[in-house]
Amino acid sequence: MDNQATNTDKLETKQATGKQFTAIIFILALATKMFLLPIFLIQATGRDAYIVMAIGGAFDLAMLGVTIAAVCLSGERNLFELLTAVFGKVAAKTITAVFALFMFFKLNICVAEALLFYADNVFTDFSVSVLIFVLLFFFVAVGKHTLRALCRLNELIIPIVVVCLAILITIVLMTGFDLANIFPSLRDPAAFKSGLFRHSAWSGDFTPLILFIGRTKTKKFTGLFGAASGVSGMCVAVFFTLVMSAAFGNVPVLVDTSTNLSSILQFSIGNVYGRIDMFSSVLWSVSVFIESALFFYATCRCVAFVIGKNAHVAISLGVCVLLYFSQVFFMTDQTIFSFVVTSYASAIATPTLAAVIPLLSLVCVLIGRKKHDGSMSPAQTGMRAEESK
Amino acid sequence: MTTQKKLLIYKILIFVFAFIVAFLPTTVSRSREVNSRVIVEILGIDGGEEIGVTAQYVMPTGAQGATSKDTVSVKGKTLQEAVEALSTALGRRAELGHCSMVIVGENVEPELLGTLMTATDVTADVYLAAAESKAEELVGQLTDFMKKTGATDADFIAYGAKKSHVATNTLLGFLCDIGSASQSSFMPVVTMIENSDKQSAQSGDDGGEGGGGEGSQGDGSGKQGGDGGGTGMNVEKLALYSPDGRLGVIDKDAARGVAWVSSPIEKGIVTATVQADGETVAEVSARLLKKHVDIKTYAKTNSAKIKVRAIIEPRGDKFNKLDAKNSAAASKAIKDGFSKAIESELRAAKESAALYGCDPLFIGKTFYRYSPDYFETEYDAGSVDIDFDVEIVIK
Amino acid sequence: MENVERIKGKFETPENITTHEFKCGQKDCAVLVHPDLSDVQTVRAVIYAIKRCDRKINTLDDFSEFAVLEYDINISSDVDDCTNKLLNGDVILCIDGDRRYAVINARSYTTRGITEPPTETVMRGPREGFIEDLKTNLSLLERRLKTPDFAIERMEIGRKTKTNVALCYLKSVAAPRVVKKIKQRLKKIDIDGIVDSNYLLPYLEEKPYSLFSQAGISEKPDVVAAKMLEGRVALVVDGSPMVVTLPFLLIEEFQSGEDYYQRSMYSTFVRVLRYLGLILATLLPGAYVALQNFHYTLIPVRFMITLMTAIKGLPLSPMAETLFVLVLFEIIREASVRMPRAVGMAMSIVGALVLGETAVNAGIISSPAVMVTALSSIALFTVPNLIGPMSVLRLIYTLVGGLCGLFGLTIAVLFSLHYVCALNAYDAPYLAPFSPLVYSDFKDAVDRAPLIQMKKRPQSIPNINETRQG
Repeated sequence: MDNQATNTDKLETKQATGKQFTAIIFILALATKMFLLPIFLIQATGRDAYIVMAIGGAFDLAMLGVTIAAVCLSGERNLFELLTAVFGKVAAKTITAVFALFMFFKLNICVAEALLFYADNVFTDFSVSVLIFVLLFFFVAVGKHTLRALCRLNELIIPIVVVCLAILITIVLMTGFDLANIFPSLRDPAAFKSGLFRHSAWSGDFTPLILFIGRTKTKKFTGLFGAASGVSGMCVAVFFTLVMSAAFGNVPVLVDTSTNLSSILQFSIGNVYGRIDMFSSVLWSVSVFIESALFFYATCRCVAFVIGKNAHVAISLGVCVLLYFSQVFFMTDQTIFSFVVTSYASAIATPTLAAVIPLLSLVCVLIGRKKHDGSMSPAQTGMRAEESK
Repeated sequence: MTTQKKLLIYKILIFVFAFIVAFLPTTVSRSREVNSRVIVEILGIDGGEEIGVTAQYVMPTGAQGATSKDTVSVKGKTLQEAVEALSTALGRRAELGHCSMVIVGENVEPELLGTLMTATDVTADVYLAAAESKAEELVGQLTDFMKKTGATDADFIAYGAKKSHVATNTLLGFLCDIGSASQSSFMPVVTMIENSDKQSAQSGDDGGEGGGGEGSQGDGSGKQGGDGGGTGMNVEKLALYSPDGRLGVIDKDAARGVAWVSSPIEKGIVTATVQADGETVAEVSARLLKKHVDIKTYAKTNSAKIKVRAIIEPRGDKFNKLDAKNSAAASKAIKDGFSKAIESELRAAKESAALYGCDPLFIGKTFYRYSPDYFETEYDAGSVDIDFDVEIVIK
Repeated sequence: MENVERIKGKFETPENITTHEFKCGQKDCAVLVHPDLSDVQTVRAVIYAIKRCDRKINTLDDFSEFAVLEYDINISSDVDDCTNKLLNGDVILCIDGDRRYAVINARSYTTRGITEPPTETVMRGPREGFIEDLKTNLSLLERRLKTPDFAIERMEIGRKTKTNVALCYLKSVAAPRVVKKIKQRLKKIDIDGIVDSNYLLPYLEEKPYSLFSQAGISEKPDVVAAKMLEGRVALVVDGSPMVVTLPFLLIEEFQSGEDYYQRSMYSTFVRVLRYLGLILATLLPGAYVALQNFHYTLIPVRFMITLMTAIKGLPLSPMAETLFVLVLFEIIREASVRMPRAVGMAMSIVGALVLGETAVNAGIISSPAVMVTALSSIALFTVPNLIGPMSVLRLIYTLVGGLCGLFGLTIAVLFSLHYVCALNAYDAPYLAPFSPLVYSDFKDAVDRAPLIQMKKRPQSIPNINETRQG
């Protein structure tokens, strides 16, 4: 079986190619960073939101650097094998369980955001409890199939996302915002601090990349390209936050969840173009679906490793049921949602884990490289079996 | 798991999914359809004891694409109530997402406009226009006018923003200005021109081209010294606002001055009196091609400098007579003439605004941006010394 | 004669087999022939040759040695094998005292002439098409690929039909593991009959339940030869003019043989049209319903008013209406495909004019819905090979668009794309060269570069010899 997987032509000897890895990083860098986050930041910080975004982004980028290093140095063994080799089976499973919880938390935030976006912007009456089924259906398919399929999907979608972003940016630049509205900066340190606090629940967007450890065909410049795409994605996110800060910086009370990039653009271009912005936004929201699909996939594979079974369909269904309940009963409720994302617990735990997960992975990779000469027992994990599929 | 079992599971899943999606009543209700809506094109808001909302709505009539317009007015304790009442009055849900203009009555407070943006479907990009007194009356007059001319679109003001010298503002722009350090904002005042027999025929023709032409036409002809008679709209004056409400209305010259600084005007006619070779040539007209505005504030001297650089393209017999292209002196005379004309408009804007204690040129905002500490401690709007510097480039 | 009886005993109706018994010297001889499948001339020639032979013929060995015949002669003692050969049209000769049989090739049955296939007509380019005869089909291919590399491996599939299947590939190009995998899969087939090459597909595809075809089917030898030159394997099945090629990529559905016979610029333009046509065809009805049901703010005001006028007073909801028109269209299309041409004309008049026009006039369906469906269907015809799967997808998208709006539509499209991304047939990624991205193969994807640029074979298809031209 393994033999067949390595045979998969020189195009894709592993689950992901370097290009696909780069593309995924780009999507992760800007997907959720451009959804509700700018609104929350503006509500909390006013016109300094973009600075908060840049600081949070820098933290995430640093963690991205660690993850890329882990992926590039990893060699043949995937994360779960490395964890088992370094910490032993029980400890590895415990650690993975924590990873799974974190991924599930991030998944919930992503999905809640996507649903809120559609509920407030695109639909007049959007029944979350029903329409989430469409999303769950997609998730089950993602959980059932391989990481390769998800990478390919992302590779296929990314030109559309980039084109939509380009259209949005052109609209913004052409119509001319009064960007000077963001001055003066940092007049209210307390608000700035609360903005940073808000951002913390959004950190860790790059954590699912640990799944690419040992499963990416890295070339000489893969790491460099990955970092570049992360930085450019983050720049786009900061740019749009800047635009929104300029538009709403004076009147932060006016921003609510129905306000996002789309409505800003609408404001700037007016009805002249027949709401082309909305189409672009809807197309571009695909990136959020892909990000949440990646978190879903990560959750499922972590669970698969913890319970030691490769029943991918069953696990996906299980995670979907959990997701459904947490979404319908908790996350769609505005107050609970904002409580979850702004509570002290999540504000401390999320960035901590967002830092610990990549660092731990890197440590594992480094120790694994040293140990590599020793035993080479491929632990039967979810991934290895899947790779050979 | 065998393939057959898997297939069975998929089939069951698909069936369950289809069942859930198809049969839950919320997704299949027919209330969402296009035909259960009424498109509102212009919304009028009146403040006071009760909030009054007037809507100009469009209904499709028998033939393809033909429409009929009408207005309806309702009142409510709050804006949300009034909008709800609107739907009741129309018998169907009022679709405010397509609204392209909001007419603001005399007593409306900016806060109400904030509610309009956040609590209703009205988009942030709608253009605002002020009625001299009641919005309800103006919406009614506008509807009659549009019926008469057969205009289909209601975005005259949008047209004015792009093609003529009118200071316009959108809902979000207005609120943003009010929220800024200057605490001032403005919107154009729309009035209807009552019939004067002589020119009504001509105006009627103009209206036929589309509602958009009307705003600029009225404005342009007014500027060129005509009476601006005939049935049409007059968009010349400007209503100034503070967070507490309307401060007052400033006249045409001052309004043009505000437009120079605070509105993204692109086109429009500028006229000036030029003195060349000791001869005075009145009303040389030019088309504005582009303008750059730069506001500089000096905290130390408590002064501000507004620099306007206008690129214009003079035209017409009077300009030909001067023949600026050949003579440097004539060219200079024209530049001087126009810069004087523009400067006088800017000064008019400054003075009328100072009269109402308003800051539509956003000097205060600029002070706050670049010297926030000074703004918070010492700044006094009345004592700032504003200087104007107009540069003309002839194309 | 015992030998004759042994063979005839195998048949349920032995009278269908003609036996010619004659004497050759002292020996009794017999020729068995299936008159429907064999050439009578051959029988006559065999008898004549034996009788005229100057040497004495005692055994079949003598016969094959001395009888001067221009036919293939095989000697076999396996009764089943001989029965099988007889059923393939061969002539069986037995000589008294020799338990063996001589099998003489005398296959002859009338076949259709080589004509232009109706499924792949071209303006400029070869007009030859495969027919139902394996031999002719192979010769058509061999004439185009005159190289000793051209490997043809034959096998029989089907317990009852014993259908001859020829596996053709270029030894120096096709990846051995692909050939091996195909052979393994073919060998595993245990079925009573293969009537057409399409019968083989479920056994060869990775996902037989899929909506999408994972094997190329062509009726034209030039197309198949070109595909073999790219490293694909062709399966020619006796009795079918459809030749299967493997591995298969989705972009092949968008390529037409004619693309390569036209100016490359024009071919590129036509291909772009095909991609756009397909996207329009599948998404237009869904988007129309979604916009009407949920997102009217996205519709410009003037268009919205036109729309409101058109759908005023309709009894059906937008989704039901569009689905109705779509299904109606599918019924008309299906009916007209199966109809004789003369009736077909009447059919389209009734379908298009009477039903469509009247239904719109009567206010049962609206003209925008008819227009959207018509536009979508015409656009679909730009890619004839995908009409099947896309018609189904279109219905699903319409349903999802109507129930869940653009949200559902976006996810449904993502779902379909993800599914297609997961397909991998014989190590060839189904969506290559788009995903995974293979730059070098873009020369023949959306773009059709001039042939001088295609120096390498496509990387998406596994092959062992990359260089196409020096």
